[in-house]
Amino acid sequence: MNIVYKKVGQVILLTSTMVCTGIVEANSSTCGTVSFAPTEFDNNNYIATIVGNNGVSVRDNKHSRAIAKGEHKFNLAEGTHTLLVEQWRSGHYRRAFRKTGRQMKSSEKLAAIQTKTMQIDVEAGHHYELEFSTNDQTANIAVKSDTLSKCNSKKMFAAKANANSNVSLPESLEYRLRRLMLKLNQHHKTTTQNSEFGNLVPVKLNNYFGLVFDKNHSTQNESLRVLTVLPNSFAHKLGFISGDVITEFGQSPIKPSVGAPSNILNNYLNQLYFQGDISMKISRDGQTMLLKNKYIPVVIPEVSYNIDNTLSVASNKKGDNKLKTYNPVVNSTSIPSTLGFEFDQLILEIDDYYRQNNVNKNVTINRKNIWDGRYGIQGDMINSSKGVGFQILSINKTSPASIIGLAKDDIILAVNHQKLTELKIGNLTSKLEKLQPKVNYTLTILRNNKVVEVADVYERTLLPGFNLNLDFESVSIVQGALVDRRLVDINKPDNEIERWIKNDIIRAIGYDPLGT
Amino acid sequence: MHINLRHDVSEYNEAELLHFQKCLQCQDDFKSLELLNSAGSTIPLMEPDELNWHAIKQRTNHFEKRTLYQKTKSKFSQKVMAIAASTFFIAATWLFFNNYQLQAQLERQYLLAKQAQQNQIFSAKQVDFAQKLEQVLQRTQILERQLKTNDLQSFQQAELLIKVNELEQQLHMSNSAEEQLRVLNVRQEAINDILQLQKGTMYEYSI
Repeated sequence: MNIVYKKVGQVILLTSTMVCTGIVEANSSTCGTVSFAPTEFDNNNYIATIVGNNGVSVRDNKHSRAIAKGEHKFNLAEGTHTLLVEQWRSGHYRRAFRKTGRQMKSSEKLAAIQTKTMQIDVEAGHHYELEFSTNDQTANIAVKSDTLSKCNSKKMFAAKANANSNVSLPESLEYRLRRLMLKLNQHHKTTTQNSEFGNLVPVKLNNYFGLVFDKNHSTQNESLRVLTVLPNSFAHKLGFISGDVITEFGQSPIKPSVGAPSNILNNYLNQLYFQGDISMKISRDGQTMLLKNKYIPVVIPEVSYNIDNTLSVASNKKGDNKLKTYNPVVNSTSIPSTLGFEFDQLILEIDDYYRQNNVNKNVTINRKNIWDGRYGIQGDMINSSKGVGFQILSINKTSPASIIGLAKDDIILAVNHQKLTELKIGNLTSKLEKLQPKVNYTLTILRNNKVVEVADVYERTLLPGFNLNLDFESVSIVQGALVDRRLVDINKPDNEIERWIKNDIIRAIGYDPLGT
Repeated sequence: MHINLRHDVSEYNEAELLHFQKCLQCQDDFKSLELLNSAGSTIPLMEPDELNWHAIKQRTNHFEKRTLYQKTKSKFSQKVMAIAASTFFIAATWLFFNNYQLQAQLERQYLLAKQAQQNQIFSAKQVDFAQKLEQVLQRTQILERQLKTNDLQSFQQAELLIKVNELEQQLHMSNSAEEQLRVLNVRQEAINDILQLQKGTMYEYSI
């Protein structure tokens, strides 16, 4: 009985949260409207509807007839909105919402729906007619027309809180963010052919535990041997080190089974309640230990960015009756996994830094193009057999040092034939600062006990300007939705209530924690 | 269609008799048949010479003896041939089977010897791999025990962490023991670099 009350309570809490935070009352001067142009692909008609606004479910069943015709105008408060949009075949939509409006039980119908996350910057008194470019997951949503139109309704979807832009970052985070944006810029240029690019990375759960197992340790997986523990991961914070052997999950011996050891761990983690206890018995150096903590997977906030400042909102005057010259819509494009890890790590560190400094509002980081002032080497000043020099211990990728061909253990003796004379670092940096872009320069180095010269054109790296927005509210919404629930409950709903919860969570955050 | 003619007219049935009485050709044929019959009974009997009888008898006896001899000779050779063939077949089969068994035995012995040799090499390799794995894990453990969780990483620390993550993904995908060992050794060096960076002993300057 308690379980029933608990689940009903969850639904009430969830739905009341939607109602309270999703729609706001406002006067007509502070909102704009959005509609979706019906589209036709392969002789089928498609319509679209908004089901999530800034992480809150806003499914509108009352206006399903107008939505099915593509005539419904959604009222959005002035400001930025992250919208979860569903694209339906119009016939399917009519059938699904003909009666009560909640008839999405068929997996076929769900599969027929394309769900996209997008961000739109709404200006008061504007009507944006949006359209999908295709009817599949690669679809982009673009503004078909942007016209002046009064927003008469008092009910509208709430905009994001105003972002705090007067915040700085420590030098290490600042430089890493600059380099990350450079990499993203290079990636987007190769994939989209555009020199300007905007992207929305929705809020997500970082449920990577951080362990790699030895597949050859045991055929029946009676115990799991850890080969590696990713530094700073959940497993590292729990106390794991390489070589540990897990014998029990949550005071129960591991049931022998075939298959990948990581699946056994995932099965255990999926059964855990968020913010509940996690415990594992391990064997280390012949001794048994219990690793225990609270299971709180990290939520990575929603991030949107525009590289090269192409969407500079500040350049458009508020209240200007002329149409905008910039694209108010930002679509969501996936980042390759090689960049994804770096992106997630950095965003989490920036998030941590701001929270530690009591910056709890959304943050916008605006940066202009700058030249990378770093030469790209790490090391020490030393007295070598050929005089004072700088011994290189590591080199940054895509830096002037890597372009000219410097290697680890090289010792720089002179820049443009001007020898280093003192053991002070300033002796080297002052010479490097004098280098002129696009001009040849020479380095005299000691390599394998031989003095050699290397020469090249000095190429500085341009670090692109960007606007980056971190939505801290998205983290609280997801954490609130997941508290006291388990991934297994969300992924495999065993009754109607759980199905509702699952659908609402996934549709609200635009993300399925288990990727189903 | 005419009836079949017979010696005695009384042997005909009524229909045949009726036909016979009406058919002139049948009556002519019957008369010719009676004439032939009576002419045959008047031919005198002739006795052959005794010499002819003797010659016939002698010839008949010789033929009988010869057939008997031939029959006896044929049966004996057939039996001999059959026994010889069977013996040859049995011998050949036995030889073939024996040879096959010998060859199979030799092959089995060769395979067993080879397997034993391989097992020896394999188990030696396994032991060697297990020992090396233990060693690299122990060395990494020593480093990881000193490693701190770091909320704010420097650029180099972050780059190293990206490298470690890439290595771990490689390790996760790898199925070969040699590859695992290689990746673990490279990873150990990267972990050592992270630790040195945390301790501030890796280098003095980053420019």
